[in-house]
Amino acid sequence: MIFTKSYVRVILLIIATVIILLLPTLLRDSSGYITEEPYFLERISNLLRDKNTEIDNLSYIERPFTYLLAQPFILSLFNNLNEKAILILPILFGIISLILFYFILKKLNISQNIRDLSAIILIISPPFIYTFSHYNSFSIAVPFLLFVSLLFLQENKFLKILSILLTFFIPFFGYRHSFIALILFLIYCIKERRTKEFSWILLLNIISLSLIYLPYLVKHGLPEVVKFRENILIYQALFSDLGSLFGVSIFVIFLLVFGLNHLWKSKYKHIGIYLALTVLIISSLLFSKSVIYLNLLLSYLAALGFTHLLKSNWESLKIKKLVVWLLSIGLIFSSYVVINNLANAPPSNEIIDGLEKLKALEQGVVFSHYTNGVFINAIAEKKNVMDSNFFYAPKLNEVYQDSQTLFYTRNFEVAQEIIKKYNIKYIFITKNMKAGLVWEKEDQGLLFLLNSAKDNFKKLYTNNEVELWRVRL
Amino acid sequence: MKLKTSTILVLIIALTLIFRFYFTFSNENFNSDESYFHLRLIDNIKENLTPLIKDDLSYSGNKIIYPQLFHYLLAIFSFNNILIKIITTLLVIALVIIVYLIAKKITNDKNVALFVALLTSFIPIEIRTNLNQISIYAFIIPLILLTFLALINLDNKKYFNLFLILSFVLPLTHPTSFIFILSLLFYIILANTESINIPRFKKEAIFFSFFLILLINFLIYREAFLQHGLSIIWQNVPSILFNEYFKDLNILEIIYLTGILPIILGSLGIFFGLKQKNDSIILLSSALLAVFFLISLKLINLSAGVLFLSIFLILASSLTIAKFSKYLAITKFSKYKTYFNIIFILLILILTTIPSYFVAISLPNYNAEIETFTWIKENTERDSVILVPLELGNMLTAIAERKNIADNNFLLARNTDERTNDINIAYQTFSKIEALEVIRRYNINYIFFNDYVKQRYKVDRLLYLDEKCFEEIKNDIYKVIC
Repeated sequence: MIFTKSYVRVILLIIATVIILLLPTLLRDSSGYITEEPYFLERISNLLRDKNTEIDNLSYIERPFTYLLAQPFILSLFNNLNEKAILILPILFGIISLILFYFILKKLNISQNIRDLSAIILIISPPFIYTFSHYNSFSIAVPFLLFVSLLFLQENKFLKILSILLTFFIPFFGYRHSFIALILFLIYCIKERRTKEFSWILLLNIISLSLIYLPYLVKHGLPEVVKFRENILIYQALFSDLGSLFGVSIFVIFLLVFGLNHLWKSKYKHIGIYLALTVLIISSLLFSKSVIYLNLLLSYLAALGFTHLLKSNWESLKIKKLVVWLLSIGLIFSSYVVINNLANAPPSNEIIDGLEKLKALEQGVVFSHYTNGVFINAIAEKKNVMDSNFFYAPKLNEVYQDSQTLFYTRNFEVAQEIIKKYNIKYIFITKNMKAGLVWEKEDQGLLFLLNSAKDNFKKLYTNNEVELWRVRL
Repeated sequence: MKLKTSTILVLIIALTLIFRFYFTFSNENFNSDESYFHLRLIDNIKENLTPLIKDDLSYSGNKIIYPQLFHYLLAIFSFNNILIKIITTLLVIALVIIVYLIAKKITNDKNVALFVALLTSFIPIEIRTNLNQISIYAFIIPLILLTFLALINLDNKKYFNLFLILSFVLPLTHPTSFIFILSLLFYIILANTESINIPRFKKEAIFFSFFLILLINFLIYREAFLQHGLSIIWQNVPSILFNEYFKDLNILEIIYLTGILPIILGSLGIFFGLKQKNDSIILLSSALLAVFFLISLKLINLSAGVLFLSIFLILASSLTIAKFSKYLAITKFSKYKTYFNIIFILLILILTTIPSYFVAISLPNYNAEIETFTWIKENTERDSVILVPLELGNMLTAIAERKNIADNNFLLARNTDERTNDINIAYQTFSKIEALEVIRRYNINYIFFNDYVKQRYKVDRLLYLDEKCFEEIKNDIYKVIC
């Protein structure tokens, strides 16, 4: 009877996961993928399939093929089976992640109620919806890390060894994933006195990192440090309620306070959790997408907080009920906000139309804001001056500075010099660029030049969201 | 003949109403530009039943982030401007009654509460802010005080429920609800330092209210927060207007606007209250601290800050008056109590009513501007852009229903600095080229130039006007024709 009930519960959780993860796509007006990442990963997986792995001749006009290959590689494997793999895979991995998360909690002797609640909070959490509603750099990394962790928790010696061996592959998703995993394994191993096993994990990761990054270092030297600051504040990236697509809900933070308050009753017994939380918070501050890993721990702590809140004695039952309702509605509200934001995330149909028009034109370098770079490569199949893949991008800071100069100059000679330097043939302007992303005013910088130097710039196409200009020098 | 307390209270209310109705109905228009902003929000709700979120006229297209509960209430209960005037006046009466109830609770003395109610009826700064205007402060101040009243009576189930409801209502009314949550924060700190035990249910209510108000405000102003980051606290006010909005403290100005009586009696009340660890006075002190904190960090404009300050000081005055009254009763002068009461009433009338009268008669009158804006509505194209000073921006959009360059809805407006500066240039420059550059930048079709503008920009005429480019179509309106 109990078995049947828990079985039904898991099924219900899976159904809920599928529905929630499908919502951003179902509510989306645009026919394109959600955000630039699926486009980028699909293009790289195509290059992998075609064995073009020496040079990427579209990004930054031309750049060395210094991409992380785990995600595109897995995509290319599945793409061979089904063309729609890019849409199905993230949801599938979302379900797998949920199940793994559930079993990890079970393995850690977390009570069934808290397990269920943790799973529910995880499913409706913005970082989970972001990670598994579209194919991105975390869609496989997260379930992989969860799978390795689950194996590592097993008593079976073979499974333990297998998990240690599998950690070798973590750096293939990126060094950041590897560092986070290493620190979390270190905390766990010290607490459980399994430091010997950690030394093996460390060794395997060092070998793996060396295998991946040493050839890059030897061939291209150290990657350029990004000197320009992205105009986004750290706290904005960390909270979905502040507009971040992958940030956590602020309501989870309230529940976290209750959860930590409950844990603190046993003082330092849960030191591992405090340390893991601290590490994940710090890594999220340094690299905002780490919040996706932080979210897993937060889901558990929030569930703990919620349960504690329900069980605690309040002098006013009315306030207690209001607090519970408020937090529940708040959690759902955050999910609604992020689903809505994902549904409206670029590219819109108008941007796709503009890029299709660009695709039909003869080959040439396209100048735009770097956030449009991946779309220019993937949809228009044209070269961009710059995109958001900064790692080992050639002359990154110089290209950025030149882009800024071209955006803001009203001096035709200065613009001409940069246009010639990059051999720019097309200029692709989107609505958000004119609404503050680049310019504040209608006649600012390059916009002034485009409208005044009519002999040198010709408008080829325009719609509500896009302007496409041809350069003639 | 001894009058009943309730009768005296009714008399005070009647006196207040006569004073206010006299000034309110002596002018058919409102006395502030801000009133017309509220009027537009109310009219929009009446027409569409939805709040105004995107305004095509303000800044020639601007997003509005403003909690509109107050406007919904006015939209429901007012069918024309006269009813709006009556309702906003009645809100002040609510303030007098709430102050009476709080003072009664603090002192347990009805007579003292009556004195305080009389003091509240004539506060110069309150008259300046609310008289013959649609002012959000006329609504939010009684609400905040009602929440304080509920908080000090929290052991009563009815007040407890009221407190919970008001915790939802406050943030949906105005961002000055922050004064309340800051007060709660200072109250907890002060109560701790004074070793006052706050009952657990009260702590729970304070905790709930604090986070709820914070959260609702955060959700309402999320977009502005995203746009401005932490500098949202300065509301995107243009730098050239910043000092005007957040003037430095000038003690003489504060005394004049608050009234000498509330300052002296209120300060003494705070002193006595803290000395005897009076819970209600500690709460009031916290509110005063919160207002001082916000004024000193320039997070609230001086006028609004002084308004709150005066109300809280008046409430604190009740303790001084009560102390004096008790002291008098045990002295030989107790037989002259009636005389003392008369002297005190005279003092209130002289020191508050007379300044209030002068404030009331000095309120700006916008009849000429409104007449011109009505003419604009009837005689210009619907999508025209009209150049008016920023201070008349709301009036233009509400009456003329035409686009302005800027008004005081700065929060999500773009290039507020540049726009404010451009308006100044358009009115003050002698260069036609410079003026035309501004005119073309904003596609200005008409320039409004009357005595108010002359005074505001200290100019006698627009120096760049010529017949080739500008046509005088009314004595205070010029059409741009080139």
